[in-house]
Amino acid sequence: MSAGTNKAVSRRGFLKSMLGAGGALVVGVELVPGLSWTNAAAAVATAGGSLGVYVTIGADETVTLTYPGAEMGQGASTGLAQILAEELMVDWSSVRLLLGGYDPQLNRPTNGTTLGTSQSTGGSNSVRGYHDYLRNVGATARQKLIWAANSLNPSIPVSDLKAVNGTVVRISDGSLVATYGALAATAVTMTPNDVAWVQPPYRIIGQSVPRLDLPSKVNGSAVYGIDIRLPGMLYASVKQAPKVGQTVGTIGAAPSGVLAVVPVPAASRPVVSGTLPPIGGVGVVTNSTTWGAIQAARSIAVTWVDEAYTANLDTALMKTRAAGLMSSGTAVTASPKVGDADAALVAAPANQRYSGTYSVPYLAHATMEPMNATVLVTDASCEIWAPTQVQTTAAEAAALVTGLPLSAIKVNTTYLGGGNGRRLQVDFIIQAVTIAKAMKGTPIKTVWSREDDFTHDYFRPASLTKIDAAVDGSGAITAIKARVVCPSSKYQTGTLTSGTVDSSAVDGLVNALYNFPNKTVEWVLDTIEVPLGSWRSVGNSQNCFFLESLLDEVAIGTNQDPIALRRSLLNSGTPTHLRALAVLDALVTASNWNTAPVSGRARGMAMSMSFGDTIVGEVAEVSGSVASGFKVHNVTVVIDCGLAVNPGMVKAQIESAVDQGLAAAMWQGQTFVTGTPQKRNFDTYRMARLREAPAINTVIIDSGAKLGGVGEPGLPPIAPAIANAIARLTGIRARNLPLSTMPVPPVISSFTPSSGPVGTVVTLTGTGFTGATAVTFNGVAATSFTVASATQLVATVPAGATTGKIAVTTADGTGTSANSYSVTTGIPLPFLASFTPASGPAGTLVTINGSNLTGTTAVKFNGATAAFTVVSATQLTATVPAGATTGKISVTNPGGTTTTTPSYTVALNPLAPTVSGFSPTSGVVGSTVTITGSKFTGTTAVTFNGVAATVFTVVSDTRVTATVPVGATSGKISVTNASGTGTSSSSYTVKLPVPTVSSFTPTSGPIGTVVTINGTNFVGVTAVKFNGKTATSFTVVSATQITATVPTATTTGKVSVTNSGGTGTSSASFTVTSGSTAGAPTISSFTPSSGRAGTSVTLTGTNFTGTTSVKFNGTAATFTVVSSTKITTTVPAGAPKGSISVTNPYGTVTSRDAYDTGIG
Amino acid sequence: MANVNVSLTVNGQQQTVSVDSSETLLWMLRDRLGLTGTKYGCGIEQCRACSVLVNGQLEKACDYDVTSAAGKSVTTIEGLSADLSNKLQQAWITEQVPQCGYCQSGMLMAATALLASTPKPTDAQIDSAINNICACGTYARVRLGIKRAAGML
Repeated sequence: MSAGTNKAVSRRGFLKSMLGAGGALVVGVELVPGLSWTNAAAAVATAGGSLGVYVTIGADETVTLTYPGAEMGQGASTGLAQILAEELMVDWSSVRLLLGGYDPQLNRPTNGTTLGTSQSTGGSNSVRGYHDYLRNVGATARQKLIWAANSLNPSIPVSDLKAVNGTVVRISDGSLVATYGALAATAVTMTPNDVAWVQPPYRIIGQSVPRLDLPSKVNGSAVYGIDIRLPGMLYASVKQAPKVGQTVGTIGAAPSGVLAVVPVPAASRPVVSGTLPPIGGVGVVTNSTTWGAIQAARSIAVTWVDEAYTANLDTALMKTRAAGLMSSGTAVTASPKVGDADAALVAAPANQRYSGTYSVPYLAHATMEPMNATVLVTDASCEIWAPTQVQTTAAEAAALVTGLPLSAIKVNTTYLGGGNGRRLQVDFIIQAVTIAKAMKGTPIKTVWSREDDFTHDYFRPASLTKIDAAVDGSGAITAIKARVVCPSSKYQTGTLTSGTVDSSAVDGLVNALYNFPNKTVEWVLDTIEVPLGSWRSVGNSQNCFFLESLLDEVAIGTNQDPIALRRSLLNSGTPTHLRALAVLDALVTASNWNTAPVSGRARGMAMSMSFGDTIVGEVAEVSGSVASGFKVHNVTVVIDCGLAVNPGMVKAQIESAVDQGLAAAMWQGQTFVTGTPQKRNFDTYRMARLREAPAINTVIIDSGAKLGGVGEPGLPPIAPAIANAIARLTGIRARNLPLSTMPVPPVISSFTPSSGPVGTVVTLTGTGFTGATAVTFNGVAATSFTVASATQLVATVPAGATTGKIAVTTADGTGTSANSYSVTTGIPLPFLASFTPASGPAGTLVTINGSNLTGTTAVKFNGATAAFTVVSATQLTATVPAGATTGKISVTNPGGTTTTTPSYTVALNPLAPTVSGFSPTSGVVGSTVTITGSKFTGTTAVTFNGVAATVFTVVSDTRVTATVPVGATSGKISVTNASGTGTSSSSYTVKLPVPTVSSFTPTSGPIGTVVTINGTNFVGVTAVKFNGKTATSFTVVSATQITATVPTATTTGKVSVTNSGGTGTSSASFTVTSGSTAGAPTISSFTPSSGRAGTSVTLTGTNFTGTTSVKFNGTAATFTVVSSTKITTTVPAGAPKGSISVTNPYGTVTSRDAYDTGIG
Repeated sequence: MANVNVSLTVNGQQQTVSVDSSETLLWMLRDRLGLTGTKYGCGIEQCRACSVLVNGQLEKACDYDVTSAAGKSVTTIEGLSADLSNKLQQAWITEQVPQCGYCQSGMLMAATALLASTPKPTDAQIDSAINNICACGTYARVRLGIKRAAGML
């Protein structure tokens, strides 16, 4: 899908030519408030007639009013329409807005009836500048309609006709004569001679009627320059010079997809009338998208040629340059000069003089819509669609680029996504026309990236200004002198007459509204070539900050309320001063000035007069600190602009000026490094966000004075109001903007130790410590402190200090700890600052530096006690002891122990052995192990878990064999030579040899017999067993002999001995005999004593558990072991009379008595 | 060069658009589909003039790959209402919020996302949710517009 047409342009509105009175061409983009785009088309299609370039009446009674300027958010398109609608006697709801394009009939008027030479928007001059003229236009149109009604109805005299609500009615009976729609065509030809303005009360002027452009700005349909879409349109962007003033050297190959490469005049050059800037950019045309064009422009290779001045555009160099001009530059005095301020200053005593040197940086405009223009050039014409504040200048520039006459140039004005003065310049239009000229017949939209926008601005000038003031004995200001050093766009454009003052350098100073008995303002021209332009409120934006800050310094120094001080300077009784006093009265009331703000907040005020005698006073309420940042909670603004044509719009303009001025004051400033502007996007050029915007209370005073400007006057006072509040909040005077560059006092975030006696050395951690001039402990100055870095400082608790907070003071202020340091009694701990060397083997002499080292009682290396010598209170030496390992060093004195933070690394002697491995990894005593490593030559010992091998052989410097010694247990293997010891990292497992059992004695016996067992490797014995049953106890007599007790639960079988190496078993068996009463059964009785086979007999006795057989005279019987003392048994068949026997593993018992079975 | 087709829903309408594979949603909307209500302010996700909803989530179109938007549902300022009946749009007119208006499309999308998740936002919630840059300083009225649309005034 190719670039199509705007929905706006094709469906809702379209380029429309309308013939005005006298045949003048009026072109513009039709716009409709609200949603009814079809109404707009219908209204235009059925237009009844145009009553001049400003007014068209539709047959459907819609009234289309043309706006001659740039609608950039200030609402002037509505304001001017209000004036027209008021005079026209139409209802506001019938009004439609037409953005007028380039047309000399829309030029800025010089008075109520005469047009000037240019169509432009700026200087807060639209409503007040067009007011009288449009009153006349509207009144004339109204009278034409009335005369038309008379012309069509000759019986009704003009004297009986009046206009009301879009109709003409009879005054006598109120009857309708005709609607405007019906009259318009006739009205065009009327020439009334009785035109007069409507009288108050006004219906529309002075009312907060809704803005005509807002509905399209909430539904996405408003067409800004960047939104223009035309059939067949292509996209372009420009590779701009990276440094100020550079021109194009060579241009590389076009990237793929680029349709044209067009060298263009440089952006942001001073404009010299009738000439074009040198080639300073490369236009690139694509057919993809806007972003495709921007990317293509970025990727094309271009070499650049510096201007002679490019490298001088460097913030650090420019500061030095300005300071030099401040001390010795030649100044021009601005007019009017009052009295002799120099003499008054010299005459004043020192304690009655005030002086401050202030500075502000270059500011970017940062309109949300970046620069752009859409242009269609043919052989015979050039048509431009652009967000421009200067239609005439744009047309003239296009004529210069194309060579076409002005009559062939059309400029269509779109909405502007912000102006602020940036779009008073036409550099971006010149570039766009140049590109379109290379692609005749095709509309080309040229768009800058945001980065181009920030780096190719015409900046608000930086200014360095020194103000001196003198006061009399009662604190009244008697003289004031300002010396301003700043660059000048007038100078850069060659329009500054030598010896004169560029008014924008001194605006707000030389014409300040105060009555100073002696006043001199002088200006030193800085010829630095930073591109300059008008930023919202122009010279007032910097000079109000300077003057209102200095007045505040005087107020604080003379202990005057700053508002009272202003009043004393507004004492001439002139109407302007009376208005200013009224503004101050309203400011006091609205800001609650005489009631202290809540704790933690302070207020500052400032006032200024600018742009047609509009007077503004502001109070800002601020909390915070330099370290943590400031928050502006609320701002009170009082404005006297004479007449507020739309109070709602005035309030909106004030809110806008406050937010914009606040962001500039707090954070903004463009910087340069050898010609390269540094801030390129919103990530580095900080804008205010919603959470930072203060609540704003606006009071509009209706003084009836002459209509004054509204767009800009709200901005100058906000910076000084905030700075003055900060001065009261913190005691710190900010003289340099932005406020984010205020030097930050030190911050103590922690300290250690947290307690200790006088003499303790305390380490502070925090920020901003560099250049500290004092450290105090609860107000008592430390006599000794050292700044280790910006973030660390070491101080000694001074004599006389008591428990309390620690404070550090630098040139930027004082920071105090949150917690207190507890001063105790006793001996201060050692303080360890450093030690050297940081590593070394045992025997190394280490030097330890610190404090409180006299009286040291012990020094340890990772817990290993070291020999030491106290050299002085700040130094001791200690020797790394043998056996020490890597770890912290500790130093002890009677006050306690301090340990170093870093560790001391106990490094091995490089000549000592290292053990890298061994094989095998396990084995028995007596087996051979091969050990590998280094430095084995001269080995004096090999140990297995500390047990020295008695046999070892140094095979080579890297190999040693050793026999596992007797007594060795599992553990690391070490090799020692004359230089030291190396130890394996893993352990050798010593396997025990398996025991052998060769004999035992006695070879038989009952349970409980102590048997002596003979054999070998009776080491680490863990068990001795008789036929698998563990011996009751055993004693290892020697490696070859064990004694063990036959356990109760065992029977005849082999004897075994077990250790970790295994089990050795006897070949012979030990015979377990009976005869031991232990365990054999006994029979004490049985019952019955007789009975045949089958009789159940109960035996009573002992040790019946485990009974294996019961016999009646040798014949086995079935039986049940009821318990260890009772058996029941059944007389078996065939058993002869005789004894009963019971057998268990320990033996057999036979009853004394016989049982009579009845047999035998 | 346009070398990829992306299909997605924009303001309720199915669209298949031919785009550069590296294109972002912002330029597809503005230059391919002609929906110029969504604006370019910075290109680095700082200013949020490019804010849209993608599957109901607030996104910055200037850095949203168009290929990632395939199959998803995008709502732009033009999709809030056909007739200014949207509560936020009405509140914006009642409170006369915009100055130049360039940031307001993004502002309204951010406000839409806020009220969808937090129907009665506190000042702190508004502070935290609305990060759009307005160089003209309409912030006090943006706050009022949100509260009015939320029925809190």
